Amino acid sequence: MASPASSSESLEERVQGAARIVLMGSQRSGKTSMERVVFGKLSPHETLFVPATSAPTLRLVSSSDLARFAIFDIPGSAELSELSHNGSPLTPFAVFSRCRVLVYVIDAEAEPNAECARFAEVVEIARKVNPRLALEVFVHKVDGDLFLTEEQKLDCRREIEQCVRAELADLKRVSQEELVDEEEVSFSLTSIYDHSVFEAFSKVISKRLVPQRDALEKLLDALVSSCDMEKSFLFDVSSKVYVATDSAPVDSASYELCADAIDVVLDVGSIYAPHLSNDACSAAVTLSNGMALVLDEVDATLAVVCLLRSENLDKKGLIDYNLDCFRKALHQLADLNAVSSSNSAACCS
Amino acid sequence: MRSIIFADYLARDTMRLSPTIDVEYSHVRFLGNLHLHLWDCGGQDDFYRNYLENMRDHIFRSVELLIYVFDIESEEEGSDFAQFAEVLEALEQHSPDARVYVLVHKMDLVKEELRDDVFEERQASILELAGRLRVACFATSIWDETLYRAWSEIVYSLVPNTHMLETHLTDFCRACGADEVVLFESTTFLVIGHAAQNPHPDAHRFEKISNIIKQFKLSCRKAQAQFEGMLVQTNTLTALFAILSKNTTIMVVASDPLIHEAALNCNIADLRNRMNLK
Repeated sequence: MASPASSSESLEERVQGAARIVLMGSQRSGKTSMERVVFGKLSPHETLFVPATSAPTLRLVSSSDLARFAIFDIPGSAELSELSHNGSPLTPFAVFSRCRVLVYVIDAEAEPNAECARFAEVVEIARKVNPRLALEVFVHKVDGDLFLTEEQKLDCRREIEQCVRAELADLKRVSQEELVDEEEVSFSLTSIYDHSVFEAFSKVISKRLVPQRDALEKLLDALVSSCDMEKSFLFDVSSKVYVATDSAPVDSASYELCADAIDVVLDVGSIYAPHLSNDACSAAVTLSNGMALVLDEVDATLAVVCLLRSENLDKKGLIDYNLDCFRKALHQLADLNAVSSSNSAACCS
Repeated sequence: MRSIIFADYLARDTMRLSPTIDVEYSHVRFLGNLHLHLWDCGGQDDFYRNYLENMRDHIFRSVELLIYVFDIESEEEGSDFAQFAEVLEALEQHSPDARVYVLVHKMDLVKEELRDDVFEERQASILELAGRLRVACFATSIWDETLYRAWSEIVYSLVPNTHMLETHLTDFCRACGADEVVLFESTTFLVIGHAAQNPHPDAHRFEKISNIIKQFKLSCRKAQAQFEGMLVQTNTLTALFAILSKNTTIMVVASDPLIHEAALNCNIADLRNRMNLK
């Protein structure tokens, strides 16, 4: 059910009202490519033709009531003060005040010291405006010839991590106020040619941008324990980023498998039932290692994907019933969200 | 290209392959007991001279099928064609019954709106050279399902008894009340037979499915598992993938909501018995 508030709002208002991820980094570090691959369905080998971004762009990513956020892609070619957005110059306040997370992209093949120093400068400006801003560093392009083994990737990450921590410790010493603690930055290794960048964004989004994170986690925990499953994810279908998962630790292999399962199921479905995109789709996949995947579209933008042992798939009725309960709970949460966001919008205006 | 179809390479990993030196002989078992001998001939000019002169007999005798790959971006179009003409001549001399498939490759490098025109033009000049040989042309790219379209056609022409297979499948399709039944070879996921009750508007759907499932098989393998079966259901669609025999996977698509998954499974088990595919 679409909430009346969101239908009456214009697109512009919804973009402005959404929580933001600010994407920054040096020139040619791959910010726009990354954003297009994850949220624009561009295939990685086509990113060669993506031109350098010259103006800041704001894109609304998910418009579901459960997870609504926008990505602000800031070009790395110029200083912040030289850029403008929607006709007005870009002040640090305009960039960081509404922003929840700063994702800073560091090219793994670039010289780390200069990159880390720039990152520290950005952090200083950003934290002055918005002290609650979360900091994430993506060590990007770990797919090149320099990084053939896992070990090389981890070495690179360790080097950048040390360098960033040193820069931030300096920053803390120089500035009087408590701007930043060097331990609070998280690091991820990413590449657009595999799932790592999707997983990195998933972590950012599920951790920082979903208002009902705890409630969703509990719901998924309940689903997992009642159906005897191993792991469950709630995915944003179009980007294949998960917005929530249960409290068990995430391992990359099962994330990849679940994300790929969405592709297979939807692609096969769209070939044989092309006109029924609003028709809820459910699927089960069995694998030779005794595992199975269950997928269920809970609304137009979200799907829950669960990993379980294939013998538990026999209790199909139980799984269907529990998924149905989960779906209902999710709709209630979404309605609650819509009401609270329209209230806060009313307060602002 | 060979690596993607037969050795489960990802498209992006093919950059790490080295060029083929001379002739690489490989042997693929398809459908369990259909043995294909693949001779992958390196494309450098020096090797060509060798093929056409010293090894002419060896290479071109008892060829069932020749797959010739053109690079659409190649700068030496003239000499490419001259070589192709010489190869056809040698083939006509030693195995006049061979079929020829020409793949106009790397089409992803051509702008999308120009692709059809570029291909038409190329196809016309290729067919001109064909002579008495049976030549078919395909536009391909390793980045999308066009590669599977070409290879499905190639493999389909190599499978014996296709007619009998399709009769069985048609019976089965009718018995299930299904819209469509497609039989895939399990490792390559190329189509080896299909039957339909209701016509489907998309003529390229099989290649798309091959491509989709193949990608998924790769990700399953990363998780140390093999793809076994899948059931996709919406209010108006049931699509069931199941293993039919050691080397084949069957897909049954039904749009009647009254047809139950269990009935389809039961029918598949029955088909397995009837075809002695234990």
